[in-house]
Amino acid sequence: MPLTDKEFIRYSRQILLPEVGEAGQQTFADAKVVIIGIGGLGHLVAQYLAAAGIGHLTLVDGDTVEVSNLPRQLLFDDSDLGLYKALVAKTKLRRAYKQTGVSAVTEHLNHNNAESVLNSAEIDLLLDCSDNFATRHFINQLAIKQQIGLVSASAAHFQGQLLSIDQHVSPQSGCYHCLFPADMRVNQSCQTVGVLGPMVGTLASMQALMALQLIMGNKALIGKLYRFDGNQFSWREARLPRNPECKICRQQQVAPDPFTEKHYV
Amino acid sequence: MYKGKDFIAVSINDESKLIAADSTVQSVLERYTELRGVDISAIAVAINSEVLPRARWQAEPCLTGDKFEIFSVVAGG
Repeated sequence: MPLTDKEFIRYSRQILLPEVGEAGQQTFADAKVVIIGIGGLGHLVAQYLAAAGIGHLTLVDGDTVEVSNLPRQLLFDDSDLGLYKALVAKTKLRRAYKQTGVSAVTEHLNHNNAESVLNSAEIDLLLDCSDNFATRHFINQLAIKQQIGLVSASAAHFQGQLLSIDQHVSPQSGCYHCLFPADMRVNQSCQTVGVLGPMVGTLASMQALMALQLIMGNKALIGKLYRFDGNQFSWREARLPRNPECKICRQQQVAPDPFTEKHYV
Repeated sequence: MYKGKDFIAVSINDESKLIAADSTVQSVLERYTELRGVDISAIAVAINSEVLPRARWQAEPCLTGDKFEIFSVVAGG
C-alpha cells in the first residue's frame, strides 16, 4: 500500500535517505519486531522503532517500574511505579505513534510462553534487550531454532556490547553461544556494577539503528561484535565466525529444543 | 635479557608485551588471568579483530604482532 501524504511528510527525513526511500519506509511499516526486555535498552529501542514507523512491536517484560529505573528508563515516570513496564510502554507508544501496533506480554520470556510469543512466520526481527546471561542464551537458541534475525545489545558499568546474528542470511557468522559459551562466568550486571543512563542509551540507540539497517536489508553488520567503552569513548569491532563446534548452532537440527529446555525459567 | 629468537612482541588490550615464542593463546590467557586474579572462564578473546572460540585456544599458536583483545561478558540492559 503506497504511503499517504501525511505519512510521506511525517517520515520525510527518512525517505530522503537513498537507502530508505519510499520502499524502505513501506518495509518499516510491514515489519514486525519482538523486543525482549523493556528496561534501559528496550524502552528506548521500542520508542525509536515506533517513531520510525515500524508496523508492529511486541514488548515482553514481566518487571514493573521501580524508582531505581527512572534515571535511565526515560519512558517511565513516578506515576508509573509498580505498573508493568510492557503495559506502560504500550500505552505511551500507542498514544505517541498511532501508526504502530503494539502488543504487551507482562511475563518474562520462558519456555512456556516462548512459542506463543515467537511465531517465526510473524516475526521479522528479534531484539535482545534483556538483563541477564541465561535469558540471552535462551533468546539466542530461539532465534537459531526459528531462523529469526537477532540483535543482541547489553550495557553495564562503562562497557557495552552489540551483535547481530542471522545464520539464515549469513551461514558462516557466529551466534551468541559461539561468542560466549553458556558455562562462562558473568560478573557484570547493572544491579551489581551500576550504569549511567546515557551509557545504556548509547547501546540502545545503536541497537535500534542496527535493527533498522537489518530491516532495510543491510547484511554487512551480521556476525560482527561491536564493543563500546564509555570511559575511553572507543568502539571496537571484531568478526564473529561460526564456531564449528558450537553446541547451539553447529547443526541446527541437533541443537537442544528451546521449547523443552527446563533450566531457563 | 631476552633473546630475540625466544620471544615475540604482541599487544594485549593495547599494551605491548613480550611473550615466549612458543606461547599458545591458552598460555597467554592463563598468564593474563592469573596476574589479575580473574577466572579464565570469565573471558573471551578476539585476535586481530576476530573472535577465537575457547575450544581453539589450546592449539592456536601466537605470531609476532598479534593483537589480543580480552574482554568479558556484559549481560546488563
